[in-house]
Amino acid sequence: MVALLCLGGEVEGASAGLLHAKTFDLANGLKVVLIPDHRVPIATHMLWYRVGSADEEPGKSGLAHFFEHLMFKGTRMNPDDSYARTIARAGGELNAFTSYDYTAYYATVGIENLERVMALEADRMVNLDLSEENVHVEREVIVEERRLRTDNDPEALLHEQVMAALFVNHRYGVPVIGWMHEIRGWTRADALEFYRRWYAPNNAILVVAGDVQLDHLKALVERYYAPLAAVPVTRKRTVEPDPIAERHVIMVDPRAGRPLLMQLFLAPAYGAPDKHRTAATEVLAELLGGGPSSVLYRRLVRDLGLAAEIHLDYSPSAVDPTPFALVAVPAPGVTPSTLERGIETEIERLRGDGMAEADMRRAQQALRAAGLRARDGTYRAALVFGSGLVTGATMEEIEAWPELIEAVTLDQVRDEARALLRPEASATGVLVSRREEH
Amino acid sequence: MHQVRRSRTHLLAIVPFLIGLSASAAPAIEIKHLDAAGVRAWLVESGQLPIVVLDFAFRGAGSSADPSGREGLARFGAQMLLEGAGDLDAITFQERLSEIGAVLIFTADRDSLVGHLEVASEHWESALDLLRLALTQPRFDTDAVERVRRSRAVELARLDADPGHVARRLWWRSVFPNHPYGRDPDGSPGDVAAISAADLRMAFMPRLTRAGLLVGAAGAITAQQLAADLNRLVTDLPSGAGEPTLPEAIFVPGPLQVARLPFPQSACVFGQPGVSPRSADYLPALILNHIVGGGTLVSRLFLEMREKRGLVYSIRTTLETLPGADLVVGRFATENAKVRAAIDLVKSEWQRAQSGDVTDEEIVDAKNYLKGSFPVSLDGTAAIAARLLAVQRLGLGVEYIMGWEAMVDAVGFDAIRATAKRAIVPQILTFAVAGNPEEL
Repeated sequence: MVALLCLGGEVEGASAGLLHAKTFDLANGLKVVLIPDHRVPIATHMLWYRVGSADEEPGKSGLAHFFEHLMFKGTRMNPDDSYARTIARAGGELNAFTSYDYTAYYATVGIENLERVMALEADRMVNLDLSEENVHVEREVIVEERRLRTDNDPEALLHEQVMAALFVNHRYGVPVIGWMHEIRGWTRADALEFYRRWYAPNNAILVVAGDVQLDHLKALVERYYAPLAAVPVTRKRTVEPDPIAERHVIMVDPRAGRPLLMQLFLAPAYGAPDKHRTAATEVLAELLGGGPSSVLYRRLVRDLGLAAEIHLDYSPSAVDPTPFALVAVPAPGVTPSTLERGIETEIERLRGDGMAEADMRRAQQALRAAGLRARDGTYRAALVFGSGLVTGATMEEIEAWPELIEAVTLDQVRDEARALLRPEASATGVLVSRREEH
Repeated sequence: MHQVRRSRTHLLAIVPFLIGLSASAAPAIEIKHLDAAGVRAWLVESGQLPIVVLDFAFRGAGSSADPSGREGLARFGAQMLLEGAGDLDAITFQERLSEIGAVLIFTADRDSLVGHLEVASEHWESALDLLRLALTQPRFDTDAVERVRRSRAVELARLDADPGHVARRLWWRSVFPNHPYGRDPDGSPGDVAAISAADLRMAFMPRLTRAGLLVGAAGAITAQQLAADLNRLVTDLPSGAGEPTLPEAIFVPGPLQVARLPFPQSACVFGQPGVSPRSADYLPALILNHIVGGGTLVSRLFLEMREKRGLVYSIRTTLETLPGADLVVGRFATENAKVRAAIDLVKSEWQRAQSGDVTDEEIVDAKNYLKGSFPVSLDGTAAIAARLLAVQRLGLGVEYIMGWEAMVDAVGFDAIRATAKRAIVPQILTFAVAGNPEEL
């Protein structure tokens, strides 16, 4: 490892929003963000890599997440469970997570332990020491994790199948945890190849939130991260063809406790060319299914009694066009297809002139409040900044998010409804315990 | 800010908040005590963000107080409190909440009805007005009752097919066969079908009393203003008759119970009686729990079952405290073929801990964890409010926050080993499994 430190060459900036985050870049390409929060003498150190399950080679599904687990297996300098043990001794909290587009590692510790965490995190970016035994045992852990999250849960199995139907050419159609038969095939060589290809300072973003001064952070980063060498990293993503057919998935699973309906549409993302549409799409999601006063809830649960529950999931923190997901539980005695027709009618109305200004204003208010809550505490603030930056949002966009939401107009939301909620750009899944219930 | 379904998967399970201290270090926060019409409240003022968070619990209003034949009433009622109050029907009430961007959530556990209000400080007064209406003048309109009934019914149907839930239900029922703690807080389909507006008015609302109320608050609000606002909030609540009472729950150990479900993985819950937060054994027990199965990646159970053998994705044990019972409860899930082996490992770790085989190094590490995790547990306004309520719910005083480090330091090594011998009882460790375990 060659020490090529050049803090002098950084571009430094501070954004003006609520959290006053500051940022600078190292010569080796690592981007660093500081979010000051001096309430409690703690800090969250969160390192984000621009690699997720959508970057895996065909046949190796789940490898990104598997590798995330393997990052806790030690280095020559800090062998075995040194990382976990050090943070436990400090009373810190730690975890890591993998999505389609990113992998992140974090620890929240008392401020006196920030340096130790950084030393460990920088060390394992390049010095991981993996044994065959590590790989073998951890693969079994992932098998149990997949059973827990997915194979033991028919609703999760349906989600996998509908995602696979929505994406006809993109790896978002493959589950983050991986298909069971491919999980069984991972090897130590696969893991090491993945490591060498993706783990490098120029492919990472460090977010530190907490009771830290910028000068102190710079000194620490200079010491631990600046010596790491940049490695060329190229990310290739396939592009979805224009969608031309509605897809319907029917899953019959006698273990399902209740029927479920799931409808996915393709929506804009921070990393995609249609990034400017994400704010209006967030408002649309909130307006449609953000809670008990949302339009679909009011109509389908309250007025018509067709659904027992309905909500919408959408996050623009993705590199490529991403799902806009409607999930509904039919009311007792209502078939999924009856509910589906009810939703269709309501969506037609909204694509027409059925959208009200008051509904949009409420949605904007709810989002702004949620945005405020999402910045509460060092962990949450680091999550907001990291997940935005790592998928393509800018510092300014993240700080100005409340204003971007506020500026959305009814016409824009209506346009999004028309652009997004097209049957030919959707995949619909139904879970029933017997085929005739559909 | 929605989270897309299962778009992320974690190294560790994200465990919902559990009562149980894991705290330390001289806190950089100041806790203020308020008294509002006889209701005690703890506040930490914090202006980092313009928000206020109010966490509160009505002790004695949880599912243990549900009348026979109306099990699930508390959880039903918790949901009903958001379905209209005073002059506001359900939709108007919900619209008012979302117009000010307030989050108001009610849940019920075995002991308490628990509430959480989180709102931008500019809308605090309006949010409090809505909360006061919900707590004092809920409408229980017929259409709203039926809507919540449908929602509860589909939730019960889902839980019936969830091995984790079925194992928990089986465990509680088997260890408390003669006590309300043995019942499922979600209730049964038959009981939920029978719950009426009259039940809500007569058997649920009267439990929300001033005497039972505990409050933890944090955020951009002064003690003076909060005291005045709380006064307004609680003044129309029934005063209640002091501490709610419940018979002490007798833990009945028993042989392993199995609920057969056609899934590839079995969920397992295990546990035994625990230690009262008021007992001298409590801190030693917290330290032991950290060593044996606390939530880190280096607990004995985590190392033996996940790191060495790949048997489970997660395993942890926690001390749980209810007014009528103290418990140590753990859970894990593993492939049907490996349940037997996993249970044997848990038993052998229980034996090892009971023998007093705990090293000085383990104790020092555990103490350091408990001390260091205290400031970490105060990460944000919502986290602070939650912690203030949790300590009160354990029946502990503010010294458990402000004097935490010294209290942990003061626990002797021998006291910990003595507690292990006394409090850990492998013979009564009771297991429940849901799934299709082999050889059981």
